[in-house]
Amino acid sequence: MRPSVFSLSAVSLGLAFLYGPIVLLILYSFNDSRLVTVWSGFSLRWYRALLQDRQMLDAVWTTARVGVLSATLSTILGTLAAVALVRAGRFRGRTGLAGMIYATLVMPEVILGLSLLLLFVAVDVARGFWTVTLAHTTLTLAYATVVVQARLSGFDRSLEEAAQDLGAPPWRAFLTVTLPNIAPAVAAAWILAFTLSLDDLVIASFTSGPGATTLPMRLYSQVRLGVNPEINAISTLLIGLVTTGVIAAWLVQRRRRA
Amino acid sequence: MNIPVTPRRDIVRFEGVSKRFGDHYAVEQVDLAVREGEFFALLGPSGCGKTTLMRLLAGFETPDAGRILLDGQDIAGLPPHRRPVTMMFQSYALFPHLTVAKNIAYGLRALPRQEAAARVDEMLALVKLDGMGDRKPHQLSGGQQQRVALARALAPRPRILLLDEPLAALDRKLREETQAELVALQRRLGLTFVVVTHDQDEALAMADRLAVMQAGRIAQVATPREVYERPATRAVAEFLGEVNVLPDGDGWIAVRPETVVLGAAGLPGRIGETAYFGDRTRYVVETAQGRIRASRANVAGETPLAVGAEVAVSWPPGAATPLAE
Repeated sequence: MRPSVFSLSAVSLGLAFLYGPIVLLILYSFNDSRLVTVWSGFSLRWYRALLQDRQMLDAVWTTARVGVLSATLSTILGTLAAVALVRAGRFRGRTGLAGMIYATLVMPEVILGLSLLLLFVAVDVARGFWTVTLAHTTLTLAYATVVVQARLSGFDRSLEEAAQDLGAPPWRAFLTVTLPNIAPAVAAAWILAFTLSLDDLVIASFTSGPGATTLPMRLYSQVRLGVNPEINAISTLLIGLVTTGVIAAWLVQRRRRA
Repeated sequence: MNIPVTPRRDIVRFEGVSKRFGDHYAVEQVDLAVREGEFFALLGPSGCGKTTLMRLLAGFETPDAGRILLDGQDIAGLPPHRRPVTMMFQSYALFPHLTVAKNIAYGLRALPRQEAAARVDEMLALVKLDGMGDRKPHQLSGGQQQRVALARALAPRPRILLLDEPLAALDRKLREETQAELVALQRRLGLTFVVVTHDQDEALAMADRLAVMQAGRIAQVATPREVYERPATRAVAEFLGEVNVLPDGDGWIAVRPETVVLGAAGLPGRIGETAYFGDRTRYVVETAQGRIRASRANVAGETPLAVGAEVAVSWPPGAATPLAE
C-alpha cells in the first residue's frame, strides 16, 4: 500500500519537529565561524578547542563517573525492587512500597533536589561527587524499576520454579534463569538511568559541590555567558554517545532473541 | 529391569494435610499414600486441589496443617531444591536461553562434568532426541519440547517424578502415542510417577491407581477399574464417564450406560433419543423412573432401535453400585 500524502507529510513534519534543532546543532558544531548563526565553512576547530578546555573535560569526566555509578546502583536496586513487587505476592505494604517507588516519577525535580539538599545539609555531608551520585540514584531508581518490572511480570514464573525443582537455591535460580531472560530489560534500564543522569541539571545543581561540576552544569553556566560553538561540539559528541548506546542496546536485545 | 513386587511399600504419605489460600481451602484434611514404583494419578475437575497437592509434594507450597512424609521422613521443612522430587511442568518451563543439552544438565550440577555429559546423552537417547542437544527449545516441536522437559526432570534420578497435565498441550494423535510411551517408560525405569490430570480417559488408561479429588478432598482412591465400576460417591460416578444415578430404596445406585440391557424383560420404556457414534449407539430411554441412558455396541447386521420404539430396560445384578451420597 502506498502511503498517502497526508501521512507522509505528517511523519516528515513530526520528525522535523523532533530532530530539526538537533540537526542544526550538529551542523553548526562543524562551523568555522565564531558566530553561532553564521555559516562560514566546514572546520573541526571547535572540537580541537574542546580538547584544550580543561574545565570542560573535567566536567565530562565527572558526568561519566556519576552516570556509570548511579546507573549501576539504581539498576541493581531497581531490579531488586521489581523482583519484590512482582514476585513476593501480596505482602503487607506492597501497594505502599510501589507508590513510594513511583512517586519520584511525578515528583517535580526541583522538590526532589531541594529535599536531597536539605538532607545532605542536615546530616552534614560535604557536597560533591558522592552526593550527586546518590541523588541521581534516587532520581533514576523509579525508571529502572518500571522497566525491569514490565519485563519481569511477563516472565513465566514456572521457569524459576523449574530451576529450584532441579536443585538450584532461589538465588542461583535467579542468577542462572531469571537474570539471563530479563537481561535486555536490565540493560535498557541501565541505559535509561545513565541517560537521565547524563542530562540532569536541576538535581545536580542542588546536590553538587565544588570540584564536582557535571557537564550540564558547565554547559548551562557557559551558555549564560553566551553561546559558543564549542558547546555545539560537546553536545554533538553527547548525542553521538547516547545514539551509540541506544543502538548497542537494541542490537544486544536483538541478538538475544535470535 | 526391576519390577517391584506387591505389596509395595509407601513412598509418600500425606497425613491430614490442609492448605488454605485466604478463606478458601484448596486442600482439606487429605490422607493419601502413594506406593513405591507405581503410576499414580490425581484426577479431578479444575480447582479441585490436585495441582496444589502436587505443589505441596514438590515443595512450592507449605501445608497449613498435617504432615507429608517421603520415605518416612517429614519433608515439610525442605525447600524445593532439597527434595529428591522433580516435576514436569504443564508449560514444560524449558529455559529458553539454554540449549536442550544444557536444559537437561541443569539439575546435574553435583555430578562431575564427564558424568553429567554422559547422563545428558543417556537422557537424550531415552526420549529419542539423540543429536538434538545443541538446539534451543524454540527450535523444537511441541512434542519434542515435552520430551526435553521429561528428560530434564528424569536426569537427576529423582525418587518421584511429578507430571502436571503432561499431555494437555499436545494434539490428540500425539497424546495417545505419548500416553503409551510414558507408561512404557515408567515400567522400564520402575520409578514412581505421580500425574495430575483432569482428563479421566488419560488417568484410567495410564494409572495403576488413582485418587479422585473433589473440592479439596479425596473422594476415592482405587484402581481405575474399581473407580469406574464401583464409584464410592455420586460425584465420582458422574465425573468418570456417563452414568445413570437412580433411586434405590433410601439411597442411590449408579448404573453405567454400557451395562444397561435393552430387551424384552425389565422396566418398560420408550426410546426418546438416539445418537450414533460409529462403534456404538447411545440411547435415552424414557421410563417411569426417569430418563435412563444406555449405550450399545453396533454389531454388523443388527438394526439400531428407532426413536419411539417400546423397550424394556434392565441390568445384570452386579452392574448397580450403591452410592454413598
